[in-house]
Amino acid sequence: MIALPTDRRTSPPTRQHAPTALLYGGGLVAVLAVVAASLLVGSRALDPATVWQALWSAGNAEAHAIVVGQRLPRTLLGLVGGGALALAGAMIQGHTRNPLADPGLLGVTAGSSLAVVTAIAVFGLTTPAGYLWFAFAGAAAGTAIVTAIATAAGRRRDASPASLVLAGAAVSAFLSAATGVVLLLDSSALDLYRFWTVGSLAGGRSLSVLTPVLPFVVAGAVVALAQSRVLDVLALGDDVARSLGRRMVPTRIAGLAAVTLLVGSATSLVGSLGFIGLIAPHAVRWFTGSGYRLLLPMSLISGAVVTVFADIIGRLVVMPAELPVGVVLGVVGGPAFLVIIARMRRSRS
Amino acid sequence: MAVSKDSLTSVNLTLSPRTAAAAVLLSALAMAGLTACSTAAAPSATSPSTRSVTTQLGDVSVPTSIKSVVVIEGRRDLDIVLSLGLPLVGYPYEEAGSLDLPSPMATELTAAKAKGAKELFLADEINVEAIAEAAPTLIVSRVDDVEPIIDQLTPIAPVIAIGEQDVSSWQDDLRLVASATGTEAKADTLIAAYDARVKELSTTYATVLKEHTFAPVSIDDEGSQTRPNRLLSSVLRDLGATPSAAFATSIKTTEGAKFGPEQLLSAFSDADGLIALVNEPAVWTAVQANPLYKQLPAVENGHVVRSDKQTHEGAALTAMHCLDVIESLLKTF
Repeated sequence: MIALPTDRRTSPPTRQHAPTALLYGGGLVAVLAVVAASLLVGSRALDPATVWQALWSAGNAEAHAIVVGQRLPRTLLGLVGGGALALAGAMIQGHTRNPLADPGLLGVTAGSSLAVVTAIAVFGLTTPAGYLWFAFAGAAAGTAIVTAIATAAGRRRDASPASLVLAGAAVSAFLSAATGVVLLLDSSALDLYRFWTVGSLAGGRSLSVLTPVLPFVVAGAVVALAQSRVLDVLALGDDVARSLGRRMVPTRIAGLAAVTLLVGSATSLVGSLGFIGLIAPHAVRWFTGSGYRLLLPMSLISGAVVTVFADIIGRLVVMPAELPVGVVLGVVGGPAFLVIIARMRRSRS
Repeated sequence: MAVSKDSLTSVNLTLSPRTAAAAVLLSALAMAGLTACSTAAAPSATSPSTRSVTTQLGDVSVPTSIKSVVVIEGRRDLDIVLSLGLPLVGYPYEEAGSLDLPSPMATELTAAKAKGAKELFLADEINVEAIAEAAPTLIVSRVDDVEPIIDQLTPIAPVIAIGEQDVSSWQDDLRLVASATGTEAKADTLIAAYDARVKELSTTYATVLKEHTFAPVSIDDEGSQTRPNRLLSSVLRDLGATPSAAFATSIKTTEGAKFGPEQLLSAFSDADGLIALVNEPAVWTAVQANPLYKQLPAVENGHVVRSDKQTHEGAALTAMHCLDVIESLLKTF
């Protein structure tokens, strides 16, 4: 029998988490609550009865257009996009054993950004539906490049966490610079890019945008949730995981594939939503402990809830105008990031 | 410190071609600056070779012989220079393909290009070196653009600072530039032509303008708004068009009335005629597919025309174009 290390930074969960049923029940209630609020709140005041009727009937054409045409799509986009990014964030943190990792770490966001800017500047695409596949392809390409470099550079040829993080930082910097060059050469792309890079659920995107991407989100989520046991083992360190019979290369590739599917899909839907992949898993750890079997699904739920809630806040604070959800998340995410750093320093001292 | 001629020569010989060119340009700027300073030393003594006008940035002496003009903002200033027939040599340009509707100044600008007018820099990205390279005898632009860099511009050429929609009327600014360039008669003709066209349309469509309500409305992904002082709005008001509730509110408050994406129908449901201000064709396609837009009474009844930001600001040429746009809307009734 192998003696497991007890180092606090790498040990599997030791904190007592809330009862599983209570967590899932609370998560479900939270999802239903934000969905209801998202359908009820907007710059055009509609009473609950009108909203309810508008969901099922086009009798009140204006209410139907607002509720079904605008509020429902942005709610579902927020649930899917936010949930996917949060789940990807938890995955990245697990694979890199870096609690400050977020989905942008592997070049996913930078790859998406470059592809979207290219789509706007070179191909003249101006709508989210138009550059959706570019965002997805860019995310996949960014991750593939990072993984290839990290694998090639890894001392044991297994894309170790340190190699991944360093390769991700370097590739992200390069891709961001390339994005900057394209924007300098075509400043008209800047306005459209700004809207995308901030991250927004508005913009009149219909549910048809969600349909082609949803299978990739589901596939990514399935692979990610299936890795929960693996991530608990990885938390003990690569050597221990290997000694327990884990093959590191397939494990890492499966994890990176899941992250790519999730982040590529999410960014193509809602843009680059900073911090949700960082905040949500950390917020969830307060309730679940650090075990991934509960952390991953609860991150998915909390990411969805937080994103939709942030969108609702964005509709209210500067009414009748709106703040993009990415701005609201950034305002919340900045202080949250500082809290995380402070907690980490306290726990190590 | 005393520097011998030999040492200067020796320094010049060691300069790279690029550095030498920069030195020549700086010298030219310095000389121009000295010239401007000497001119400014006696502003009240207007000689026969100059005209003196008072702008928002003070008195300016302008040579009577205007050989070349540069504009910096590219809307009202460009319109004024083109409409007065001044020798334009440089102007800012919009990103190619960013707008699909033709410019209200397209004909005049094409003619100016044929005579040598050059695109100097992207709109809103002022390049002082490019302006200096164009070597204008006069610079015309919006006060907000020139005020921060006036110390860099005055050594190049006299600067006529004009206003904008919330500051002064285009007629006032047209007359200001005309008085600085000796083209007062042309300005009077342009203003008279505009007034005559306004009178003609307001008479021809008097009933429509009185019995129906109108609004110019900018629409994009982030919502809609109507503003009172944009040029198109001012022309609508000059015609005596009855404003919709939202447009009337914006006129009363002198500020734009803004609405969220969900408020498009409720905000403009009382407007019988709409001028949709949409810049990009893709956005226009999205707007036309928006169920709230399609439910607008003006849209359902076919009383909508499209324009874009090129009618937000301008002078005589753009104002006449605005009248064309509005007439095309009035003809739908």
